[in-house]
Amino acid sequence: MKKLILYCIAIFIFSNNLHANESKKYNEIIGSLRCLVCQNQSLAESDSSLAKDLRLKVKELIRNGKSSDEIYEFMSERYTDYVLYNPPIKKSTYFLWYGPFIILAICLIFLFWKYGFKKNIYKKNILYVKKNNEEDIPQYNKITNKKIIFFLIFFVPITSAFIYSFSSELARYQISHFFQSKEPIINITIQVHDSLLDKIVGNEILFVYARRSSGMRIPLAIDFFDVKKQKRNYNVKLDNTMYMINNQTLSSVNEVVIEARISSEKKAMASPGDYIGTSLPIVLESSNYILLKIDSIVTSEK
Amino acid sequence: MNFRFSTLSIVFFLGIIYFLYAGLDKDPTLIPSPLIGKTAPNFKSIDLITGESITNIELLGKFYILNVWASWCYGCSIEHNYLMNMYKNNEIDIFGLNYKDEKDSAINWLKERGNPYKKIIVDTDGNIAIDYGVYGAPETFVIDEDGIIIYKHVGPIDQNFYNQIILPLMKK
Repeated sequence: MKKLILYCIAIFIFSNNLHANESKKYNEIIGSLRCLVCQNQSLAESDSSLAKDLRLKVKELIRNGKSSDEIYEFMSERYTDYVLYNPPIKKSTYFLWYGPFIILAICLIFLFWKYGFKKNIYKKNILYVKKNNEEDIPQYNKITNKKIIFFLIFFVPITSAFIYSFSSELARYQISHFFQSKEPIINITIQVHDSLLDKIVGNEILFVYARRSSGMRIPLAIDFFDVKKQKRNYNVKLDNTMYMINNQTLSSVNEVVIEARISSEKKAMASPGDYIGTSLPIVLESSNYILLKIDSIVTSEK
Repeated sequence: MNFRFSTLSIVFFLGIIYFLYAGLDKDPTLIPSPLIGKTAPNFKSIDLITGESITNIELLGKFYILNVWASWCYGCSIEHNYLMNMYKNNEIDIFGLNYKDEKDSAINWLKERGNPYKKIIVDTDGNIAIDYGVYGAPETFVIDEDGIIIYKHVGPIDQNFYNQIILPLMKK
């Protein structure tokens, strides 16, 4: 019986694992196949369920003695060449493979052509200069450079702006994210609860601040406003510039808690009778939005 | 020469800009199916409701759509009303491929929403789906009488899909 169990375990282990050379092949293959769900990851990196299935499939195919090429073919038969990080050389991919070399060749020919002509122009210039007694020979070059600079300074930004204004919502979002600084901004809409609204006289101060979700309670960003009577919503923006202590800014943490407090005593510390609202911990991204309700009253000194 | 140089560079630049701009509007998540124009892959499985065995040979001989769905799939619940409409109006045969789902939750899901499928192929481990090149439910294949895949749609289908894709294909 013991032997039988051991045998079963052995079968189980060996049937689920690949031999050393097989697993090398396996890693190589899953590293050069694209995951179709999360497209900038390979099958090896992705954690999507399809990637898991496909990894199992690759394993199965290897165990059935299929060669790497056969496995690549198996995948591209089902998911097109798109799954391959190394697209095969064929008619539709000629430009992809040879395009850069063709462009390089064109540029080289062009440069050669340009400089070939330049000799003649230089000669002409000399003749011209001699005739007019001018000494500034390389005028021609200067003008070209100016034109190129002009082109770069005006044409590129204008074209970019033009394309930007016509591009899709998603593309615009991605572009703006690309150029945006990674400094976090928190947009907060503060809502004062109806029952508290009547109790507000109008001379209170609204403190809004972000602090660590645990540890030091010192605000990382703080702002304050005069409270107006019967005003229910306040829109507030917190960013890196609103720190209290140097080096203790929003950027220095991942997770913050937002608190909004209406204080009649105009004190920075919470005191009994203040109206307060506290958010759940939020993980900071470059741009955050939360809705915060002021709905409770501070009862004792914290 | 001077004139030619600047014109050429502008043309070249505009060319690049055009290609980049054209690329912006493309949806990179859409992958064209290499299976279009080819025979639908073979499979052998069981029916979700009856538990009888089912193979692709039984689907031959009729124009039908194969809808890949699962009870965990959000897009599937969006398109489901429309599938039910198609089923009630008897517009076309609909076969389902239940993709990586649990039997009970799949059956409950259908009980709640109605069952538009003539037969439902069970694909618990996703192997049939891999053969069909499925990468995200819902997906819908249009398959003709000879069992050849003539169209593949990724994402929920709607009335437009029927009017613009299926109807013209059926008339051919």
